[in-house]
Amino acid sequence: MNKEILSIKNLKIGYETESGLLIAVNSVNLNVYSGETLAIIGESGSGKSTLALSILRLLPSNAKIISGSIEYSGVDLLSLTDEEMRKIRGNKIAYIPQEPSTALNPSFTVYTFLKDVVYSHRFIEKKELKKYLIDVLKKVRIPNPEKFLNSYPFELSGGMKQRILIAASLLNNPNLLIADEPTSALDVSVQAQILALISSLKKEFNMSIIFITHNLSVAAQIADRIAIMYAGKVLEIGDINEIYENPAHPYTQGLLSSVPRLQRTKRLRSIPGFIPNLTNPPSGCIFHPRCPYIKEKCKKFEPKKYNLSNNHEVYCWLYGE
Amino acid sequence: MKFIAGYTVNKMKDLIRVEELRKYFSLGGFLSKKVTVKAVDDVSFSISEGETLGLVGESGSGKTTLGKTVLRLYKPTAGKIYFMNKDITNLKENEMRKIRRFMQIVYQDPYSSLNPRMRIKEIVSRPLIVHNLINNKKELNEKIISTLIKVGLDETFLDRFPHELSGGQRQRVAIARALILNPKFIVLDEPTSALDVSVQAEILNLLKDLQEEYHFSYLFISHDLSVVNFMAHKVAIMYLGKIVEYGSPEDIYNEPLHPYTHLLMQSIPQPDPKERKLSFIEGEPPNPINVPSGCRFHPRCKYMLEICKNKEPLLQEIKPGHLVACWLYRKNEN
Amino acid sequence: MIEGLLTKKFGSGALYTWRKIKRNRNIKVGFIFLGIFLIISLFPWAFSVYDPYKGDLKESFSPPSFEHPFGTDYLGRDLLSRVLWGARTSLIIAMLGVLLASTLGTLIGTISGYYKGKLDYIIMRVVDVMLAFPDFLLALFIIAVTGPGLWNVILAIAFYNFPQFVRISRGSTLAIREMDYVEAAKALGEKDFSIIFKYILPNSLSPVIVHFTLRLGASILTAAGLSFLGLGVQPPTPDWGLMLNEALTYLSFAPYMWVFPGIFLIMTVIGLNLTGDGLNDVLNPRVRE
Repeated sequence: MNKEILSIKNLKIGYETESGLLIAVNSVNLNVYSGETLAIIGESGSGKSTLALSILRLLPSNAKIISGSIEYSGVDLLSLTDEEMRKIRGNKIAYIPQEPSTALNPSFTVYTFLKDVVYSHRFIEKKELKKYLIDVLKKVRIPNPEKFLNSYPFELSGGMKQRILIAASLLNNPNLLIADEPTSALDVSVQAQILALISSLKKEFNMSIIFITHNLSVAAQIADRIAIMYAGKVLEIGDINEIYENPAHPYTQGLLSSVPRLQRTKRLRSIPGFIPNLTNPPSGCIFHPRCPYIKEKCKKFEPKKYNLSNNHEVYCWLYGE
Repeated sequence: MKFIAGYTVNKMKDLIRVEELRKYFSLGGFLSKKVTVKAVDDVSFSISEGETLGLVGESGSGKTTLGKTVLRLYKPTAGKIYFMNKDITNLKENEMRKIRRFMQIVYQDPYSSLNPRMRIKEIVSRPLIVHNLINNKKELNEKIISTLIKVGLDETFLDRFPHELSGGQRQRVAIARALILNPKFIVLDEPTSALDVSVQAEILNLLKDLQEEYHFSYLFISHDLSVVNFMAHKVAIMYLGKIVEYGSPEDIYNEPLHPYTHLLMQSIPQPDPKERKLSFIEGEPPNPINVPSGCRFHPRCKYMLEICKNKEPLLQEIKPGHLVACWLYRKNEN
Repeated sequence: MIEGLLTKKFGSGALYTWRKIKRNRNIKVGFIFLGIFLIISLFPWAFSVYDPYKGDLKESFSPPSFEHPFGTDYLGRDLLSRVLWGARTSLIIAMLGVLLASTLGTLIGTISGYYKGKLDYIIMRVVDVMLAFPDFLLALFIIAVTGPGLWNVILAIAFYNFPQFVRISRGSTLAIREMDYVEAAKALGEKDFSIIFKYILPNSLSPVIVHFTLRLGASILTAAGLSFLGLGVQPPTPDWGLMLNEALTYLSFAPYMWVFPGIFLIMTVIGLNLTGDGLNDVLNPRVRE
């Protein structure tokens, strides 16, 4: 087994709201191994974005880390000081956001932006820097990088902007890349390009990637392992081929059968019900109000983890006592 | 020879027929250079009763503009629109108003398509009030509740405001609003793109059920070919304001003709890790301000011929019901 | 109980906003000052028995004492009651003036923003010209035309506030008319009139309301300024600005004639500004916290 690069243990995060404490991440246990792409798949309210932001410690002010740890290379990120964390962000652990348009400062050229990213962590001579930036821009397949450096964000298309953000994330040779729905705002043909790009860059830079998405098809293109999140909990996690072929958790099964395929089908299966109120989550298994296979036990007790194989775990009473 | 997609279908049975429709926007004015965006440029199609035409395209394709122009939310720059065999292209607004009860729209963003200051019961009742279709309060209430039930909601939603509902619920309200007038034609502009995957499935199933029961015609606009293949009887692929391919979902899936359709099919990910297609396709969806000469797709086309740079190909029927606008194909050839 | 009513009438969004209002420090502090102002202006007789118009010359120029907590002025009128009733004058002027400006201004701004085109262009140029002048000058202009007096002051206040409301409501309208739900209303067949009053106005009022509260304070100051110059409210009406003017002549030996009206003027304006600021924080969308 590969080495662990990130280890999340029992992480519980809540948001303070008018109606009470909203549990967004509910005792999550998750490992990311070196050299792999882990896709965290979830719908709205699943907690996947909160999880991603918590690794970078970029949560909003009303978020509270209630318990748990996030270990990166043996160090608990939650225990670091702000300055220590800053040295890691954009450096060892990089981030690609969802909306390329709002992530770039409209007053800065590409050059200024990328320069700042580098200088926040180390110093390079100006000439060297320019060469280096052009190099990286070539790697993200931007045509005419020299000219490009002087462009402003408003001159660029969505795909181009996203490439800049990807380039920015690579500038300091990160070990771990967190991509938060990086293709959701892009056209489908551009999405395909960006996914291919991320895949090839991962190999070249020898990184691990945490890829957050709500789209099962996108995850299928790029992930080695996946984790299915629902209402703050991880329900199933493991090798992507195993899970897509034999989805164990009823929620995963529901998700997979609700995706329309290119080949015409008669009817789509959907999952009845709504996500639960996260300020007052249901007892027992968090999915039980919507589960077609519900047993008495599910209403009272939280399911334990079951290993269906050495790379496939599920949290569901259907698989054991 | 010009081909109007779907022309082969009986003209009389067409609920809605669009001929050589164009919609151009002018940008700029006094101080900046005047620029024309040809959002929809010579599009023709028809939809019969109870049928769904799926309109697929990426940004800049003009699909949303087309949908809104057909509803006369924009004034067409040229061409004709026939609805229930009446020429509505240039009707004055107060004449158009009477027709509007038969044509409705459902928008992509459930968060901005409902008036935040109106309660659900008011949102759903406005159509009836505007068209004077209701006589007394009791009847109104009954009609509202029965429509809400049809879309999977109930009377507890009557007094709520949109911000109290989830995305899927709001979209159901938007559908109820479109339904309540018993329209004949509904334009669905990416109605599920902003929803979670499981909710999307419910809404798509609902739309299909409603069509079966009430024989609505849909113009279903989407960037997602998989969703369109599920919903539509006929599919039109749009690129930079033009229809480049037209056929049944099976035709498009089994035998995509146009290189752009190929590109789309290649790009669309499927939920199967064994079918990974991570190859480097070049090019980006273009800007409709700078339309390439000749065939608009030629700068991105692997199979580009000399003629493609200079002459625009017209839609030709290559097989019955399957049309494509591409110099690679000539009628009666393969 | 207020919360219950709010939720019923306006939905849970209003409840959320109400709670935010309750928590806002500016509003809490501002409201203390405001509260005082409102109480004394609405119930001035509760705090003083003297008639603000009647003076007892024998008592003139008495410094603050038990019988006259604020002293008396040159005509022997009790200053406490004049200050209290002065609050009422300010309230009337500010409320009516700004109300007139906001109602007319919002109507015209909304129509202008909705229809755009030539009408909008002309209206905006007129507004631009008006905005080029300092507020006070515009108010003076009206007084020059109409002469001084309570109702003319109200007109003046309305006049100089008017262009601001046109601008604000037009801006709001321009944004809202592009929203899907407005287009959906057109697709339904709604008439323009309904669209403006049912779809656009209810959603564009937030910035208008905030501006309304902010202008109240400024208007009271302007009115006081006009009265101070003798161009506003005329004697014997109790009015803070007027009282300041009257105190001028007797500045050195009867400071109590201007100290109290001055303090109350400041407190009221601060209260209104704080409340307006707080409301602005609550009602206007902020960058992600």
